[in-house]
Amino acid sequence: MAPSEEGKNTVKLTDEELIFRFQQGEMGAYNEIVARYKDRLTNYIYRYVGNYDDCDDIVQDTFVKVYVSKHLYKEIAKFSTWIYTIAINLAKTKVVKAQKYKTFSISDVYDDENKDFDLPDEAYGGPEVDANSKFLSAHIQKALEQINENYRELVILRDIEDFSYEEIVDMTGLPMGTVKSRINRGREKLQELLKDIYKEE
Amino acid sequence: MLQEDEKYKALRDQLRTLPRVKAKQDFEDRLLRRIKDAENPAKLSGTVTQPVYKHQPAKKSWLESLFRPSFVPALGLSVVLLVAVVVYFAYYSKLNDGLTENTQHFVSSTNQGDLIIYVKKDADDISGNYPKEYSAVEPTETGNTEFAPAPPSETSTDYFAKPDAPRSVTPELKPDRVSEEQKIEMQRSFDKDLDKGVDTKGERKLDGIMKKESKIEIKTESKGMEKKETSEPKKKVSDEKKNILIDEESDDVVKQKVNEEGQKNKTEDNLGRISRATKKDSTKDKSESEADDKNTIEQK
Repeated sequence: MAPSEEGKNTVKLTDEELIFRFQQGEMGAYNEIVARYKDRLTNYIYRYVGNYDDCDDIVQDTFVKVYVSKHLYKEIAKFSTWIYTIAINLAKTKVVKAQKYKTFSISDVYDDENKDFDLPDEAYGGPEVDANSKFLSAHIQKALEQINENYRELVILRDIEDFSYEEIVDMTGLPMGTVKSRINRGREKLQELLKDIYKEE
Repeated sequence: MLQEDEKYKALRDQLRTLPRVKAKQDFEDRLLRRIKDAENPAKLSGTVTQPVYKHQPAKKSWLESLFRPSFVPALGLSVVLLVAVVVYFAYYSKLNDGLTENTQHFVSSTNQGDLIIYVKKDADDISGNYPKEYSAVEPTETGNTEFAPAPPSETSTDYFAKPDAPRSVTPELKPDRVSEEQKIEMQRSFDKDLDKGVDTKGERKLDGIMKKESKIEIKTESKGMEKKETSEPKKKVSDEKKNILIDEESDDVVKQKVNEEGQKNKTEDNLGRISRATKKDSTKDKSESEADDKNTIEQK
């Protein structure tokens, strides 16, 4: 989707202005929203789900939902909060379904050394992703998947996506104390799981 | 909060160094396709809409649908109920009416030979629901009002209205209360007298005595009638007095009438006294004649 003249004009607009224009029927605003959030959401959902194909489906569904229910957004909250809330809810639903119909892959039978990590292709990761960083990121991703879902969600939002505590409270609807405590517990768990990396460092 | 963030600074840096995962290149194209599918829900399912041929059964006539096997018990039951209703209204209702007519009359007889007929009537005629007592002769024929049911009295609230006219009292004619047993006894005594050889003169005498008694009774009745007749105008006068006294203009005329009627009553009273005296004399003469007859019989 090549940026048109309409799209060029919308580059400087804020997220709230874009969604307002899209609510009025401007399709270029929607394209700009997709362009801004597709990678952010993909990264966030991938860290949460751990499967790239599922992540892609969830992000696609998120944008479809934004397109269909654009009239439901009101300027009470930030647009980023709104779209992340949609994405995390869809991701939770997907995880629950996956747990319900859990299937064991053949790779689970082999040793951990032979186990493949579901990472995106190198073409999408960029040339800077070398083998070492690939291994490190796979190790961290594995650690993330081992901690509790509630902790994982908040740790990703705070430490990877770099949202403020207030924004996380708006997204999750949880009290501030709960958010903080969960983030700290998640960090503790993650630190325990990544002890080996720190020792090496 | 910053302290906690600093505490896990190494971890946070490690997480931030993670490579950013990017969306696929054809992400937007696939998204557009999905959006189009979402706008057309029929396409979302991926099924091609084809004309669906449903098996439509041939239309049955209403008779076939009515007399289908599942309706047979219901139809049979309804027919039986219909027949029962028809039979009830055709026959049973008539029988029931006959029974009610029979049960409306309860006849009973007293020792005195009277018949008491209890007649059950409709609720409209309340006075007719009281038991009626009938003798051999109906009271309507004889003019006897002894057993006639009293009409329901209505008390009027109009106190200034004229009083009702005096009721005419008809002579009391008692019904024949001689029972059959008494008649049989009388017949027996009469037969015994005949067997003993009693002369029929005695019967004639008895007849004469009966005639005399009947004459006396007729006289007394006639006197009673006269008295009643005399008493009735008095009542009328008294009533008229009451009415006339209200009318102040005709006081003099009324007084004159009252005086004239008083004189007439006085003359009638005198005549009555004379008749009573003559009756006493006649009764005395009769008793003396009877005593003479007895003496002659004894002498014979």
